[in-house]
Parts: sequence; C-alpha cells; structure tokens
Amino acid sequence: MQVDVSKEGDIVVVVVQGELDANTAPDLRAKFEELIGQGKNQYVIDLAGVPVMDSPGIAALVNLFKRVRIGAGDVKLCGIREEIMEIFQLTRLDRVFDIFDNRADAVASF
Amino acid sequence: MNAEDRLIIDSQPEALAKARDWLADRASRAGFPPDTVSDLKLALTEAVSNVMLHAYGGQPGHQIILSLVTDDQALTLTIRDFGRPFDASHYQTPDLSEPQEGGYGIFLIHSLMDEVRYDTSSGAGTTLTLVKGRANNPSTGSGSGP
Repeated sequence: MQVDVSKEGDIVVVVVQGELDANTAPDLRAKFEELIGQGKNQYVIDLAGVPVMDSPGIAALVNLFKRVRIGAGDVKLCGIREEIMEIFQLTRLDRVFDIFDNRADAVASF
Repeated sequence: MNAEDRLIIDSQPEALAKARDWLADRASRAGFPPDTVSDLKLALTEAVSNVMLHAYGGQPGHQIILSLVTDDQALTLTIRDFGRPFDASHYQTPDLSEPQEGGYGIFLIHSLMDEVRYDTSSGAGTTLTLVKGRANNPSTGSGSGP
C-alpha cells in the first residue's frame, strides 16, 4: 500500500493505493496520526486505487472521522470502487461519510 | 464436478494477500462472477484476520489451513485454526446507527456469505465453514447469526 499526501489550501488530500487490510491499515493510521498531530482537520481521502478493504481499513477511516469531527473538521471520501462501496453500504457508513465520485468534487465540497 | 484445494498460511498479516489471491484464482476459475469473488475475498480476509488476532493473539508462527471445495451448487471454504476456540456467545451485532471502529468483521462475514458455521468440537481451535452459492443456485443458508 502506498499513501501520498498533498495539500489544497487547508485541505489535506490523502491518496491511498493498494490493498487496505489488517496488514497495511496500521500504516495508514500512523499517517493519520502524524497529520492530526500537525493540527490538520480537513481531509479528502482518495480511495480510487484501493481494490481491497476490510474492517481494519474501515476502522482507520472511522478513527480519523471521529477525531476530527470533535472539532470543526471533516473527512470526505472519493473514488470508492464498486466492490469496496458494498462494505460502506453494509455497515451503513455510506450514510456517515460524505462520498464523492472524484477528488475535485470532494475538495470543492469544503 | 467437484474440485478440492488447500492452502496453508502462517498467522501473520502478510499472508492475507496470498490467501486472497489463492481464493480469487480458484473461485474465478470455477466460474464465480467478479462481484461474488470480491465478496469471497472480503469474507476470507475478515475471517483470517480474526483468527490471527483472536485465536492466535496476534502472534505469528501458527498454522491456518484453508480448504476449498467447489461444485455446481456452491463454493465451500473452511478455515481451520488450532488456537483459542471461537466463542459465539461473545459476539454482538454492531450498532449500525453509529460509526464503529471495531466489530464489523463477523457481521460482514455473515452479510456476505450464504452460510456460516463454527465448529469447536475438536477441542483444539475452530473450523469455520463459509458457503457461497452460485447466483442461480443459492445455498440453503441465508446469513444466519453465529
């Protein structure tokens, strides 16, 4: 799994590529921890390059969501593949996260 | 036609991808469609992750045996471990009204598979059986609770 971070104004764009599972989710959580430590609280997570995600991957996203929503922050998701969207639908997290087709729309939503 | 296959992996998270690839290859070759293969990969990942974390306490160096049988009705995957037996009485369905950081694994397995069975009668570990019927020949089960 590869995680690339860039910034668009105050918004942190995190592009995840590769399988996000129990093996790799700790790396994503560590990256989120680093960014939260820098005071960042507005995130777009681009999951277009993620073909596999399991519950530890979900947990990493929910952890970030809960922490930034304590303040004025938010987490928007984009590019979720059809096979991954099923997980969000089953867990009803599609009603929790704002989900966009592409990165530009997610960034513009802030 | 029946086909049997087996893969033995170690209880370390790095083995998850190998297990997924193995299952996806066999299921695809057996004629299961891509969306079903995705469901199977996720269910396997959740199940094996649970074994690694809960049966073996997150410790590598323990054996997990995956066995696969496909026929014209269904795909049957068994996941055998020799760690702490699974205790279904401790399972609680996650509260879907609030985002959770845990507890989705078993829920997802039951949501995605047609039949889920746990067997701890051997006294050493658990045999988890997952059944996914072919779309035109669904299995008799329907994602019942543990």
